[in-house]
Amino acid sequence: MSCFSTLLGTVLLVAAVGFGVAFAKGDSDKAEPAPRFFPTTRLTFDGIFKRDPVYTRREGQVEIIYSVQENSVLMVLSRLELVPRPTRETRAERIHPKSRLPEFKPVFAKDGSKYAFLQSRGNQNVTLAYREIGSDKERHLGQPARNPAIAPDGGHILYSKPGKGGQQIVSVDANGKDMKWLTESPSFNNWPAVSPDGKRFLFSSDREDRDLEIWVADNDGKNAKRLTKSPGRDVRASWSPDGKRIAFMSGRDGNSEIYVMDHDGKNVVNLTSHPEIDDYPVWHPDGKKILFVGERSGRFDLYEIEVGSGATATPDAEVDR
Amino acid sequence: MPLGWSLGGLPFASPWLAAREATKSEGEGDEAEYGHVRAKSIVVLWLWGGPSHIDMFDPKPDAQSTYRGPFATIPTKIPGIRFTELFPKLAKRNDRFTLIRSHTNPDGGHLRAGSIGLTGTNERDGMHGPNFGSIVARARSSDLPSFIGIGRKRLRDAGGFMKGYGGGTWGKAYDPFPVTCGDDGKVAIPGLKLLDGLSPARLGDRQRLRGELDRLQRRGDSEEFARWGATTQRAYSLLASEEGRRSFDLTRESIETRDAYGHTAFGQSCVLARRLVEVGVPYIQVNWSEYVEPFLGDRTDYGWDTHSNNFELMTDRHGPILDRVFSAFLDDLEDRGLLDTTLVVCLGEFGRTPKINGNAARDHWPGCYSSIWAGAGVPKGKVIGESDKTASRPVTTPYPPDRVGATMLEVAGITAEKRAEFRVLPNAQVIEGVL
Repeated sequence: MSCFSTLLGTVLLVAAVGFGVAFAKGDSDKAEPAPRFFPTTRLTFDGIFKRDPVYTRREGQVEIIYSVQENSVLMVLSRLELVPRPTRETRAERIHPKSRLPEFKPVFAKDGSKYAFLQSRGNQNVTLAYREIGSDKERHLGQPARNPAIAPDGGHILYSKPGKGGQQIVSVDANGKDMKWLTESPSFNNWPAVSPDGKRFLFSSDREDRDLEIWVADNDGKNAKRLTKSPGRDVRASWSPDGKRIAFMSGRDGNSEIYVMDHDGKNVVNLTSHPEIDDYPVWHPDGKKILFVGERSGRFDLYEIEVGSGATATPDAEVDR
Repeated sequence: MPLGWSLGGLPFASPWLAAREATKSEGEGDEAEYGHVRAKSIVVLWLWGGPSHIDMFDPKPDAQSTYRGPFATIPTKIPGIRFTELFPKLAKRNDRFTLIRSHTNPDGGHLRAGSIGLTGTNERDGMHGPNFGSIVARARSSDLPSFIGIGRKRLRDAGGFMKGYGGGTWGKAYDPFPVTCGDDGKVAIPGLKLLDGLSPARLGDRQRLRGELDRLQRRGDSEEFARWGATTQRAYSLLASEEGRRSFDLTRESIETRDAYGHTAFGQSCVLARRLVEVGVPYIQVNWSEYVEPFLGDRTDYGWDTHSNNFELMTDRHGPILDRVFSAFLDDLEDRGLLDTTLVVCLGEFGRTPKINGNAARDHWPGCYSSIWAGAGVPKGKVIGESDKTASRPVTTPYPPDRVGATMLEVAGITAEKRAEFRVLPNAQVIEGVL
């Protein structure tokens, strides 16, 4: 089979894993009438348990780093090149092939030169680790650490840690110093995401409701404002590259789906409507696609859904197995 | 579709069965001796590490935030009963099972509580009584091993092994027959390792197997034979059975069914469990993990011991996987007409602290926890027991592990009289409302 036909087949066979019934909740309560369909492409084919995908750049090319269950007891960070377009034959490679420690939750600076991730270093010891591309030197910035985010220049890392009567968002510099508490509410605050201009951050919190909603605050933690209000958890918010839109996972319809909304919480749109789980959304650097982990037929793969080119009718095809 | 296999004669004598036949007491293994057998098979889904009951099936949405946790609750098929949002599939199926919300365990450490949870007995002279599965296996022999444990290795935590997983005071002959199953559905049988080069994939190589047996019999090597131990002998009995070989081969299962369970180790292990139910294995325990700890230095075994990262693990992994697998298991058993004769019990050794700890997670809590029971005539859509407003203590009758065991055994036809004869759980009462 030629590369072209393989590519075409991949795109056609796996075109759409979901369609979105656009509707609005939260601050604006208008429902759009017609379903909208978003072309979706499958990028991995092994079906192995995976999560935490992010885009980054290496030598000018956009690629994906994600965590995947390499064997029954080890999560590792893997790299998936996007050029040429992944096919069934494409194999992701470990980015730390010598590591024997479980690693997950990678986050990269905008230019891809620096990154942070979580590393399991002992019983219940999950540590925030930091590296620069081209160096094997690894810094350990603190523990316990959960769900890191990184500033566009890689100079600061936000993460979630226990404290102040709950779980808070903190920031540290690239040496793990100068720790600042960005939230201090006695509640559960998690999943931070730094805005493209570095001036604000998104996070999820149950501080006002009895479930998790998405909030935004200035980079010093002030002026926190709630963006969503829905039944079910709204988590894992991700900024669009221009900072105007936000992708997130919501359980508001009773299942985990990918949504987008404007930066002020308005115009909420469901991008996926699949009976299985869609989660871990992140925005492509071109602003036109969102990457996520979709569970299809009980298998876990990476999918890219097009959102920037407008709504295009595409059948909700059975995904290629 | 049910495979409808019958357990026919073995192609050659099984050493293990022969040994069991020779040693069992009069009446043992004879169902006429037992009470009404409602469950031909019992499947225990063992959530090792202590699942957080308040984040699962006993949420307290009106409790203070320091207890409640960040998850929303959702309605279920039973009016007034709510689960957390992490279990939407099970919330649509609780009209098919009984939920017990008032368990207690006398111990708060994994190894002891787990042993008590699986045997109903306290440690004595360094040993526990037999696992509930060992008791069923003694009473209900089958052509296949009667008590099969599906999981990576022996249950343990970072500090050591759980004592109560096997035959305990009855000896290793009543240990579970260990089987592993990966997320790819590949099954490994550690008991076969003594046969060089013989893997489950080659179970059909009868000529080779027969050759191995002949070789050992010719040698009359009692020392080597003794070295096998009960597990290996049971592996031989498995090898001797066509049905046994097929039941362990998940490639014979439809891809749709395997997809429904999900391609996780726990999911495919439950596919295997259902196949073992079909061929009449009396007791199967499916272990979520080998270790209680989710994170260790060199492994992520993802047990339920969520002293840290409780809410992250619950939403990222444990909740979605359990919701999918358990729901598919119930559907599958029901669709195949097996649920009426199969008892499914899902539980761990204890719950987790209703009050959120200083690590923004939850610690061990033996004071109150939950279990789910389905099949074999167990009431559908019933909730037994009630916890207080923070899920800290039962406000109704507490049900410790010996009552769990007595109830399971009763459903298997092993009555109080038979337990007395076996000298196990002599004073334990069954849980009212389950039977």
